[in-house]
Amino acid sequence: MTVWSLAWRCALARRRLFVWNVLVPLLLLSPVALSEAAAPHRTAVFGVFFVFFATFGSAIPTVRDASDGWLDTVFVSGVPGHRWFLESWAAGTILDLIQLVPASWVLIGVSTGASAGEILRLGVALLVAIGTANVVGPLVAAVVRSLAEAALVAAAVSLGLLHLSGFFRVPTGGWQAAVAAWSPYRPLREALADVQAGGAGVAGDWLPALALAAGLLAGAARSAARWARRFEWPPAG
Amino acid sequence: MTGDAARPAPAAVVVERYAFEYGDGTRALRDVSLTARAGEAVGLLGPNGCGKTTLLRAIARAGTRPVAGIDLRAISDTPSLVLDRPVFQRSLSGRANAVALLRMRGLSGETAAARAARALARFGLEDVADRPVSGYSRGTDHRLGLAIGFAAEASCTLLDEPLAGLDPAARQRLATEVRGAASAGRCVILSTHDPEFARTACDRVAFMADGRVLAVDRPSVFLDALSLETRIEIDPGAALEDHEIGRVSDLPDGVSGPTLEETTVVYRVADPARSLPGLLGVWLGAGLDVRMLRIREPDLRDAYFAVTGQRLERAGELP
Repeated sequence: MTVWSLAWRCALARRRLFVWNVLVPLLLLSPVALSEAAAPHRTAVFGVFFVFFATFGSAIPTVRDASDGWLDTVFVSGVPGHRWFLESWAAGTILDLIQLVPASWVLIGVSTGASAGEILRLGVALLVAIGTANVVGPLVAAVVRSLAEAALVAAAVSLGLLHLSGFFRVPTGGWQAAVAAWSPYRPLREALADVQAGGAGVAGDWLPALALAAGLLAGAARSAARWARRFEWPPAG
Repeated sequence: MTGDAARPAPAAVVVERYAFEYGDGTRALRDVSLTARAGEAVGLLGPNGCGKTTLLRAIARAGTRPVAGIDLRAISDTPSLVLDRPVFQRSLSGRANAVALLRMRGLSGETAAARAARALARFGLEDVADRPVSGYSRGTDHRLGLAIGFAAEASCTLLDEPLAGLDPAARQRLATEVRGAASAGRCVILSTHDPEFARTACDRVAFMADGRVLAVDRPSVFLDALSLETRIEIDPGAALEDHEIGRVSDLPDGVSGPTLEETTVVYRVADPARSLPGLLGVWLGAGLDVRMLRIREPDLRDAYFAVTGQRLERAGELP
């Protein structure tokens, strides 16, 4: 668990950055949670922020660690690609969750009718969404060549996936509804809506989304030995 | 039993006709062949861009997955690579980086901590070991990289420009470490621009140019086999114009040159005892001064020029 423990040690050593990563979501999302904005709008803002936070937060450090040679140092030390990916994914996902929980609690706090079950479901949905974003981030990093490209591609991919999950317009039928059913970000949308709706219960069946999230993680880990070569030196070309 | 001493050590690293081309089509290495045995230190000498670093990194890569043309089957562990600009997690201390990188090689936490502590002490890093690497100088960074590289006690240690940024004490420490690793039966391959360091620290040297290994042998073999000439270096005390040097004509037999290296005029002679009086007579007879005169026996630097055919003026990186 060296990569995992190193990720934690680095995060805790950069205390100032850690505090900012808690404060910024709190400062940006609290006004939205406390506003008179309609629930779907608040859901969209929270969803976009959470997914961007985790996708950027995993893509950009990966590009930086690859370009300064750290990842190559890790790989030539004998750490296989899948182990690097899984350990850094686990650490990144849990760190993101910890940093986003305070902002989530503000939304829960203003939604007086939220039940314990809905809050628990929001926790699970957040874990699935953040975990998926932490898979997308390194994959984005593997296809770009700079931090600027990483930011651009991560934003485009995330917005596309959020759209397919129904964050901007809930699909009522057709292929878009079928795609949304499988989207790992859909549970987050539904859980955010549930919490705000005060137990109205709009959640659908999450199994396909959870299965796809697990499949994405397993597929990315299984193929990491190949795609993580992009982070090695000599570059894979 | 007497055969043991004469029996060559097993090859740890075998590079056979290895070629590498970058994505943009630049051919960095062409048909490179090199063998490094257990218990041997091999120095790579060559101008910037000749492929030394690429070769070291390729050997390191071959420790993690098959690379066509590089055979590391004789060693059971991953080579330890130390770059000229080692990369660390800069928010963490030198000790934390050392322990983490050693643990990535599969060492237990206890072994990694103990080895890191010993190596940090050997390279004089105890005082800064628990400070964040972000505050380290380049030389300290480099010593940390070397300490980790040797603490790994890998069957093959690869050092890329290990002298970069090192003070004389650290250079001496490095030479001791290289010889120590070789004595312990491990293989060390290092790249350097310092022929004198290569001569003292390495059992064999490989001269590289244009992505090829031109020759590999013991330093003494190069010096004996190449019939290199002794240099007589005259410092006239001021920069001379071409026409002033041209006044030194009718050189004695066995003297060739001169070449101008900054303000020093260099002649090459086969037998300095025989040629020096005559050369000095001609020089003084031309009305030129001698502030300092030095006779330098041929060394690996001359062997390098002889093997690569590289002219001195183009080889600015060699001291």
